[in-house]
Amino acid sequence: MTDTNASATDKVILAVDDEAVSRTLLAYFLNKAGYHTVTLDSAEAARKYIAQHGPTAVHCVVTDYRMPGETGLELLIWLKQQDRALSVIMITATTERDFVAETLRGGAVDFLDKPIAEAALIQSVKRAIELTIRDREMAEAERAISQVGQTQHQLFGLSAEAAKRVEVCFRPRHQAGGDFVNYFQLSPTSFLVLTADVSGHDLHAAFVSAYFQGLVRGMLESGQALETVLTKFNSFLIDEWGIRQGNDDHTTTQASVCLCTALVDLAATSLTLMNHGFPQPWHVSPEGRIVQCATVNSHPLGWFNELTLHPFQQSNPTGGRLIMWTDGLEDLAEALGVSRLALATALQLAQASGHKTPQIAQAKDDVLVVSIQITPNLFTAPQWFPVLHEIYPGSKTPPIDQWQTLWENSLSLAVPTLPESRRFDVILALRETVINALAHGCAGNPELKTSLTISVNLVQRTLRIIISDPGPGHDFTRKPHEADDELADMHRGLSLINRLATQITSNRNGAEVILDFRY
Amino acid sequence: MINHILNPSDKTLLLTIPGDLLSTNTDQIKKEIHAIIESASVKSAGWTTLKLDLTAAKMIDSVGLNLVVSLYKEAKKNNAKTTAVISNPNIQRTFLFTRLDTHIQVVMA
Repeated sequence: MTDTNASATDKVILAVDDEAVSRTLLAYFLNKAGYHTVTLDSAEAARKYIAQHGPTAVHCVVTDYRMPGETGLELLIWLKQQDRALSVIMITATTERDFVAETLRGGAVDFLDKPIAEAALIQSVKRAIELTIRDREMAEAERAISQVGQTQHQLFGLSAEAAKRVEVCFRPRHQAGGDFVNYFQLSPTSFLVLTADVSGHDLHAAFVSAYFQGLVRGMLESGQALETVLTKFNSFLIDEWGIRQGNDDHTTTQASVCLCTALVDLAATSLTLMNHGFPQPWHVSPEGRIVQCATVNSHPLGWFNELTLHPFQQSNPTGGRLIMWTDGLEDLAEALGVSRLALATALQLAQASGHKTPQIAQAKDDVLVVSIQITPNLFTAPQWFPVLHEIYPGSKTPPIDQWQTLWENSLSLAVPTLPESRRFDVILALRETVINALAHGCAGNPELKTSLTISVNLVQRTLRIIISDPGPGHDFTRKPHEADDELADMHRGLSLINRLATQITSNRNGAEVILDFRY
Repeated sequence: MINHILNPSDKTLLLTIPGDLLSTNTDQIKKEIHAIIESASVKSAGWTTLKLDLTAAKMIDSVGLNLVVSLYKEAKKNNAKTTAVISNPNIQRTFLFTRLDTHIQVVMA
């Protein structure tokens, strides 16, 4: 708390001037106002004093600009190197006005004309002391937040057991915050991953985060059910944390926590998700299929006394991996004009390979991406990474050029090793297949939808596109004589797709088509 | 906007396409080209070569290719040959694997 009302006598002012008369006058005015004044006759003497007592022993420096030896400006620059919060007031002659701008750029908080007017001096010193105290407190808070942030980042280091299944990519924007991931091995074949985002980017958020992580671990280890832990923490946020922050009437939310828990039972091949205000997680199957996980979204913890828990269990016979992220990723993906899945993949791959992702500099929030392997045998699981998942309404004239930009941006970001000529093939085939699905599969009806997913297998160097529409199907296999009739007016799009893709697989009579592109 | 130049010395009709030939813009381009071909000055010129300047194109999709094929057929009807001038290797590949290069002379600019 800034103690601007504290007694002036405990505030030390350095008055630096080579003229004895000016020093006497400064000391007289300042002492009269109650300040403890130390008079010094040169910049060198001021340096010596600061070096001996430390910069924080002084609350304000009032210095003449023109002095033999070092000028007041040189002293100012040196003082700022010792303590950037220490306020300096520069005294100048009227003829030295040109130097004023320079001294202000150097960090002086004010300047005073000679001869010194008592009222102006006292008013300026009072303001300078307030600024010194405020800036020192802010610097101290920044140091504390930075230390907490470093501790938080260390917490992201997962155990060796967890690291086999969980990959975490955390790109903090702020020095401290509330994003975290916890892994709990519940039995040899089951584990729980808890991913959360505590509101705020300050010490409060960091403390809430640390408290919650400790609470979860302690309660789970003592055999409590996850639902009990969440209910307990929700009550803590509303009844205790809120009151501690001065919110007696419970009308203001002091801290809230968005979280998603994934309980994986490999023996039972089941996955149970609970989502409280967290972005919906995604599942990538061993075949490269991408689906948004079905969960029942509930409100974040800390909002309401009543906490409705919706554990959503889904059978997971095929394994694959689960991907989730905090909303910082969604904002960044929108700013970059790429799909969220492409950005999540790009960040994960960059982290794994040690490459930098310059795009992250545009993030306005912390970005956390978590990938969880839910395949029983980790060594045989094919590694498909998601690039894009879109749902398009049926249309005879879809805004395909706009979508193409998203496809291109997403592919460039997530699969930078895809050669330019192959990217051209993929984009051209996408245009043809999506237009075909929307115009024919959906019959141009916007009530009917076409889904498009793109995933990449880096080991097999294969890009997989799956396009599915609700129509009766299409014949993607062109007969040889049709394929050879290059001047035929019909089916040129289907012929193109056949020649661009490495392999085409049709399901549901062609209503779902899988295009593989080797590169 | 499609620019055209009629060269009486070698009886070539040059049509300059300003960019890609895609499903989203081909209808408009088709209308403009037909208006040019059907104009009295072009009709009476007796051109024997149709030269399509596609150097500004980076992509031609199936609808765009349909237009190229229809122009080739139109030219053939007039006993004229068709040449496509391109600058993008991907467009060259598109002509190659759709085998249109067996009917239309494709020239890399």
